[in-house]
Amino acid sequence: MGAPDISLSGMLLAYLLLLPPLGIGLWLGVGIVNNALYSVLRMTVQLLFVGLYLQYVFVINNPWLTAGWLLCMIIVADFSIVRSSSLRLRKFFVPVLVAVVTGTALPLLVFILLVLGRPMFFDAPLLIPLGGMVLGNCLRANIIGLGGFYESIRSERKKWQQALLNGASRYEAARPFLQEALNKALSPTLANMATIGLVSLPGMMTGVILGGTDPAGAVKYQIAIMLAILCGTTITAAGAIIFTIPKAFDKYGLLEDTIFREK
Amino acid sequence: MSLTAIEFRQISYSLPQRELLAGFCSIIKSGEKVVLRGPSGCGKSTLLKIAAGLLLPAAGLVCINEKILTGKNVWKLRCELAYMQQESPVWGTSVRDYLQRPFSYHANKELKYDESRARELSDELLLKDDILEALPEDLSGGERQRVALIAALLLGRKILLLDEPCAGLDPDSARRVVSYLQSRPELAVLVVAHDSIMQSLSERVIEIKNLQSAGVESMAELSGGQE
Repeated sequence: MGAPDISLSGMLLAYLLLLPPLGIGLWLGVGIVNNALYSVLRMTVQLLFVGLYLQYVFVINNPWLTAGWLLCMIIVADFSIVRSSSLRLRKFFVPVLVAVVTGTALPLLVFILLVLGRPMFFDAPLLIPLGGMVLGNCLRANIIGLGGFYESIRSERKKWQQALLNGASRYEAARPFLQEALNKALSPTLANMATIGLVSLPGMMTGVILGGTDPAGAVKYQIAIMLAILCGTTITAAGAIIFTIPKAFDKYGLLEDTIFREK
Repeated sequence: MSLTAIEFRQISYSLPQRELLAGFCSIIKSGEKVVLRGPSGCGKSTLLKIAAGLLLPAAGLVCINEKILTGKNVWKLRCELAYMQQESPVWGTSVRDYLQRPFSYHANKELKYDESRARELSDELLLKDDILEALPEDLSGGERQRVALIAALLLGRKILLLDEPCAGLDPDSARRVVSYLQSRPELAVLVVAHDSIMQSLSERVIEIKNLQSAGVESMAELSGGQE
């Protein structure tokens, strides 16, 4: 049994769900109407495109094509992390890329090759959705982690300087800031893990159940993906900070103001 | 024989809107105590930051213990001096944690944290008995300044750059700080101070005038201290 297909008229009806939020936005004068329309439009276009594209990718299932698509996803994630953190792409693109590649590849390799015991890593119907879930979470964690790290060094400049004067290297001075940033970056993932199943049925489980797997089977998938997400977010959040440190400070150990993209 | 602890050679520094320092020169010998004085915004704190390698002068150079401060040796030279900023930050899980932390840094690996010395110093500077257990965020401004000074002293730094160390201190504690510094002949101290107690630290005063109002005759060194 697969999930029932949504007809065209059904799809249009789904868009009716937009009316209450728009109505409430207008009624209360919350300036979200334009924003909401823009976001819905983007979501629709992106998903239609990806849906069409993935149909071909899944049918062709060529390892190179799959790897290429995954790389695209990683690069887009890298872009959004650096940009949303208000940091300069030119300096941070490469170190963040290294962190995201490492943090995505490791949990996915373990998940697909060891947990699922599949012979092929670049198997489009598995790798792309799983990769998307891990990356999406890494993205969120990194914007909080990386952005927060440099922002707090900027706002607590004295503390940073005092650590240097007390004899700290860049990495030693970074430690308390790194701890704080990682804490903030990972706490949503951890809170989500702690309440999962009680309040929310996660998207993946819903998907697997709709796809025809029994709930017990779906739960196993969910547990594995949550662990993969925790692994991926921790590696990318820590890695992105650690790998960017050499680029962000001058030879005196002072934060370069040029790393920030002025808004 | 007395070595030069700090030397400012032709230091110039400008803010975006105005010139702050132009060709400033001065020498502080090791063990010497010197007071920097001048109207606010004239560049006193800037000079301390330049000496600590936290700001780069537009022109000129600074020597610490007779070595020109550069991006290469700044990490080593910073370990020969201490800079106490205005409203020094103190952080960590307790004051003791703050004082101990630098001893875990690689650069300080030959040094060992000495708890009894920390207690001695906090008594000497009139801090309360349980100060080491206190939370950094509970410290008053004056307590924070003294904790920062203790941190510098525990690390055995011989050159102290102090920016308004007595701000927020009661007169008794301020006098204790002054007499403690005077009792340590090996410490070179360059202090920015507005209050008379701290200014009583030394006969030698470097007066910095406001460049804007003073025109060309920008800096004049007052009374002696020359050997």
